[in-house]
Amino acid sequence: MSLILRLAWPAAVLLAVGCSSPGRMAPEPPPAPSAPPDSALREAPTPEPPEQRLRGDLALGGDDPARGLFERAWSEFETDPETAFSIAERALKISSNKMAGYLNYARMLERAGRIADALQFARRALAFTEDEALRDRVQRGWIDRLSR
Amino acid sequence: MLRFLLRLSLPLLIACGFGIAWLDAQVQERFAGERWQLPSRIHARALEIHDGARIARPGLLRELKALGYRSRAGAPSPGTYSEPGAGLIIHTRGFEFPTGAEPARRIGIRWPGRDSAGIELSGAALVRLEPLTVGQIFPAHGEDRILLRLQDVPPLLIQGLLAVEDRDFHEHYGLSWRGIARASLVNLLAMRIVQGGSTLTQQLVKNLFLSQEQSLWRKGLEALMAVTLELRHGKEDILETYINAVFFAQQGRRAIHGFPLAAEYFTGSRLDQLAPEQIALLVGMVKAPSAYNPFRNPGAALRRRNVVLDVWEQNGLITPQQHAAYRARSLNTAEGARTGSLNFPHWRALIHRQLMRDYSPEELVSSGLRIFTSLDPQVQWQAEASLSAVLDRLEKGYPRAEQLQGAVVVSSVEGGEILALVGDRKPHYAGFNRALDARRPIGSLIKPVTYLAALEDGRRLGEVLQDEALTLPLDDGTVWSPRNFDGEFRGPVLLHEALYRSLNLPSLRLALDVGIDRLVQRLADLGVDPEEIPAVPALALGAISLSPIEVAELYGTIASGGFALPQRAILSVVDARGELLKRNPLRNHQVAAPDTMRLLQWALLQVANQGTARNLNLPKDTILAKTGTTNDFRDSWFVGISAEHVGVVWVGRDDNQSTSLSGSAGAMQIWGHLFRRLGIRPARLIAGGEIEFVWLKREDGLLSRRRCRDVVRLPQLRGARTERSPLPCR
Repeated sequence: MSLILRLAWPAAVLLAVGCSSPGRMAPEPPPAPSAPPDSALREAPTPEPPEQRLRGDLALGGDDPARGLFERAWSEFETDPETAFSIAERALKISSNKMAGYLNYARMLERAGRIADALQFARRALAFTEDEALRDRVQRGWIDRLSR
Repeated sequence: MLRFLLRLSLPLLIACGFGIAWLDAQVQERFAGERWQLPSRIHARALEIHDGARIARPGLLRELKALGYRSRAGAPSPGTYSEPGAGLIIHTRGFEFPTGAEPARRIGIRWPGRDSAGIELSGAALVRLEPLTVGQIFPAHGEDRILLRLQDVPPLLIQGLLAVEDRDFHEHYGLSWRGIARASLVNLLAMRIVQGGSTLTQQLVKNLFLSQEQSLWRKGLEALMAVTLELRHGKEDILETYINAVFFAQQGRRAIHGFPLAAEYFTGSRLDQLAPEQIALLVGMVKAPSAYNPFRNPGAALRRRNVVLDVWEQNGLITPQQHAAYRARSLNTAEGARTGSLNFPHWRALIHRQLMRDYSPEELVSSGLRIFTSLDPQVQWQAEASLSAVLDRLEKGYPRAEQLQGAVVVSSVEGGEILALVGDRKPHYAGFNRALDARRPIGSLIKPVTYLAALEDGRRLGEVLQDEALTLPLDDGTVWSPRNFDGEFRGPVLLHEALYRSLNLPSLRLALDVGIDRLVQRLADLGVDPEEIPAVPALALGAISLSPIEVAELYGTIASGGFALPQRAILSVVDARGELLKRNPLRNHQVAAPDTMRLLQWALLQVANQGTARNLNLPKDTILAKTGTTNDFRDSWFVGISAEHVGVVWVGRDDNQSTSLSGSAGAMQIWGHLFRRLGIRPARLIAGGEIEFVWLKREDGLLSRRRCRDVVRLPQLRGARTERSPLPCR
């Protein structure tokens, strides 16, 4: 039993790290293939994988002036987190997609292990969108997850 | 005789040895460790320029001029701009920010026509203009300099300086016999002193350790110290020190030292961006900084520059063609380009006060700290102008309004950054800073906190409150009978109406229902120091004294939709080497639920739509607003919140006498003047929340229909129970 527990702990950490590693400002996820109508009646639609949802939340538009800055912030993050946060804050100010901007910042805080701060930024992100589907996704994919 | 001389020489030799050791110690003490006392520099925010950015052309031009940019056709070099047609070309200088270097770039800006569309940028996707220096904290001697490593100094400056000042620099050991012989011959032929024989090392020693006195004793000391310096230190170290040390000019208390700062002071450009003839000008000034000061003696400076260019050509540093071309050019200086710092004394006071918490006075005057702040000069200039202009107008328009004073604080909605702060109607007068230190009763500015607490208790914007007389017994045995601003009683009023009309009696009743202790708690949650909150019923009508900057923090939480944002002025501090010492990051902390905050924000929109701020005559739903007036019109307050800005204005008198101005007649006029010029983007309410709009009968606040008479459409929490009104529809 203790051997299983010993193995389970590193496995859980590896899984968590593996899930979160590509969470930088990634391109928009490819559109999910649409299933033919009759098959939809027979089986439940495949839910969007959590990782793709995360990437979608973080993605800024190509014309967003903050995009390049967030990319720089993420590239600095491993070597110099303080500089990365400074750059990200500058990006936040000019971003035209505040929700994605705040989620990027929340993601950085999460990666830095500052979960309580990350939760506050995820909540702030929610304040910028009226879109019910998006709000629901941020609530479940971010706020509920970070609150656990 | 010989024995006597030998006896005498021994003590002399010992004395000389001690003397040289003492001189050596002097030199070593100065050259070891921190060689310079560097003043701290306070920077404003750096303007971000990108497609869609809302940047006003007049404000940008003013900022460029304050940065020392010169108008030149085509903006050919860093630090220049041109105005072709309606657009603008800017050649930025670049800047070393704590997060990395911003290169010099040539960009084009167009204004497509509509303010809301923002600018169109070409030449780059995102550019950061270098920040203005808005203050410096000097050591007592007033020396100012920008340190540069030798490898960052343009080679032409090094070669050109040595060609003119010390051709044998790399050969001698502090003294140049060849130079002394040459100077002696020239002086003998001229029968007066026309040339010095001092090496660069001697000049450095004289600058750092000795007086300007012309005497053999001083010359002797200079020679000994120069040799000592050369024996102990390398040529590169001496040259670098010289380039950073040499004196150029005096500007009031500030002494301009070193080539890097002189470049900015005289030409408005960085040293690495100077044209060759500008370098020649600075090299020429070394001989006699005052006589060849291009601002005071441009003719002499031009002649001296040309002499330097002649020497350069003779030494092969420039070709004959270049020599001719550079000689033909004007001095190319920019008087007033870099005045050192702009005169924002109240802002500097805020920064200084915050810095003193973390740094000693000694560190501030000597460590060369660079302090990056959130000050937006364009907002600051306008805030100063609006406060001054409107107070003048009010004093003329209201017979009893005299000796008015005021304060303005503008902060950002999103990040809680303080963008402007004015603490006196004479903005350049560094006296009492009312924005920071004038704690005055805030009157009705407190009411939104009561209403927030009530909404959190499940109260509705559409429920009925009683606007009737109220008498409260006080602890001292007296009774308190507050009145409305107009002395009227309206009977039943809807809750949101009581807020937008700023009615005292219904608001007090509501506060008593909510509980004064709870009101105290919510005020603390929203950012007010708990020690400043008196837990008495009069608190509900504003019996709490806050400064304008504290009010900005309180309303910043409302503006952000319930996120407490500590107000920030210092964003980061770096040391002289550019290493980050401190960062003051954005912090959010949610202190109110989004749906109740959204209801409150909606009610505050009504203040400007139909309430006490309606005379601003803004389009519907443009700003969240609240007016405040205290007893006998002693204080006139206004807070207005747009999409970007929280603007707090206070007007009053220093002797606490009546101004005869209400919040809307006084402070609101300043806010309107200011923000009409800055541009107002409509406020955004916090998104989401379980909110629904319902039609309610005004008379009883119960559900009705749209087509019925005397109904009002109000938001409420989805599912909030409301009975249907029994009153007839028509």
